[in-house]
Amino acid sequence: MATYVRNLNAAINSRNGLQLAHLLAVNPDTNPTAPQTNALAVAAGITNQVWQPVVEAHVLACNDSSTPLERLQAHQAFLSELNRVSEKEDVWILPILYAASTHLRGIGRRALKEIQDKEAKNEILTQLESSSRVVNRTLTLCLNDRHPSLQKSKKWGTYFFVGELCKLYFLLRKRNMSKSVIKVVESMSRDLPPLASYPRSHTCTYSYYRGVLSLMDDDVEQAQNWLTQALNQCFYKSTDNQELILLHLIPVQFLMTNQVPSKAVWEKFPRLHTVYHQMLTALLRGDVLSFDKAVTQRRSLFVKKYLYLAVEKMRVFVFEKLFYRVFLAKDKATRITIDDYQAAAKLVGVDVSPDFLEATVSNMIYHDRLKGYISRERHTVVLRAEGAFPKLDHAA
Amino acid sequence: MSDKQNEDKPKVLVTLEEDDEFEDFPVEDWNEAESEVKLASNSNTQQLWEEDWDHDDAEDDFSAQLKEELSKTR
Repeated sequence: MATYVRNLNAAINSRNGLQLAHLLAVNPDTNPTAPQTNALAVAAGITNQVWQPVVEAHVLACNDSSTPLERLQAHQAFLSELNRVSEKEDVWILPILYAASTHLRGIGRRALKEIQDKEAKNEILTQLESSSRVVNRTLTLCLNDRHPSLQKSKKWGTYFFVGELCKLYFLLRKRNMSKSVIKVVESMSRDLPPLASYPRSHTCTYSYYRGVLSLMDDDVEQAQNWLTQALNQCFYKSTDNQELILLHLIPVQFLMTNQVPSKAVWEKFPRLHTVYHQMLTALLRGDVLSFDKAVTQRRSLFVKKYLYLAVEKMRVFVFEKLFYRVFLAKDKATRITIDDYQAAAKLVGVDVSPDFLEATVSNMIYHDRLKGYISRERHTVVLRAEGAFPKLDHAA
Repeated sequence: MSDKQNEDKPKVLVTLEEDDEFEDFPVEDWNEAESEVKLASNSNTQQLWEEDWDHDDAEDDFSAQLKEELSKTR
């Protein structure tokens, strides 16, 4: 214990953030030095009195005989104590805050997974909500740091804690709370270092959540923007994160550019192949029925991941492709009756009204994907002789 | 969701649904080269996306069927 206390004192007095984070790691696997002894006795050995409650809270949090709820409470208390001392400290303290907050969330997440009993689970959720307020306090500490030197400011912790809070809110199913946090940070971004100057682990996580939240708001363009950024910053070994980013990006990329993943992507991410390949193949073939079947089977996944609106929007394109194939089957005729179009729809197994089909054509014309007009009295689409399908018929 | 639908559903979809945490990275920062999606080196292209939208399937069964069907309505 004496060595441990001596090491703690050395790290605190020399403001060695990484060393102190290591000494205050609560995981007994990574921190075998953490003593299972009287918390007060250890704390009493800390020469910097301000730090005594932090060390005491740390030792209490190390008690592995406690229940998940007690452990969560103890770790929350530890982060609270850290918040208190962090007010007066600069950038050096960040590694300790990072470790404490990540660990706190990990405990909550594991408890939610392991505990089956509904009441016990709710207790954890309530406690975790209270933890999220403590993490929010940490974020505020970083965001509002008035240190005269930007280099030494805790502002460098801002995006990390936005990411932490988003993860927590998603875990708590309070995703809207993430939006308010992002709004606050965005409104203060002028006082912060540019996003690109932060470590990639911070910016990638931040961009990912911005992308998912844009999808929740049905803002496909912003979603493409943020998710592309997230993918371009993601660590190459973190393939699960790449997969999660692509899960959101694939429909968005199609809507924005009509591009689909390459073969190499399907090979690297077989689960994404299972989710999207059938749908996209159907889309490219104008096969409405197969597209609808694929979407129905995956509905709960799409709803849960906020992808349903984007996927619904893709349905317009399956009709565009079908209409284009009618055009090809009619040897690029410049007049296509709604009856022809309806016959083709029946052939792919969908029974839709002529009005609906006319509406899909109007929509293509409106979006400049089809050049022509609808003759309503003749129930016919009259196409421009050349280049009627600017996105499809490059040869024409 | 009914049991029937769950039976039809590939297991992969169920696990993807349940598993939704964006994981913590093993390191804090990395360089540009370490930010690439590493695709199989034997694949023809390292590109993530393909332009397949204007791909013309004119020769497949459906086109033939469609041609036949539309000749009836003419």
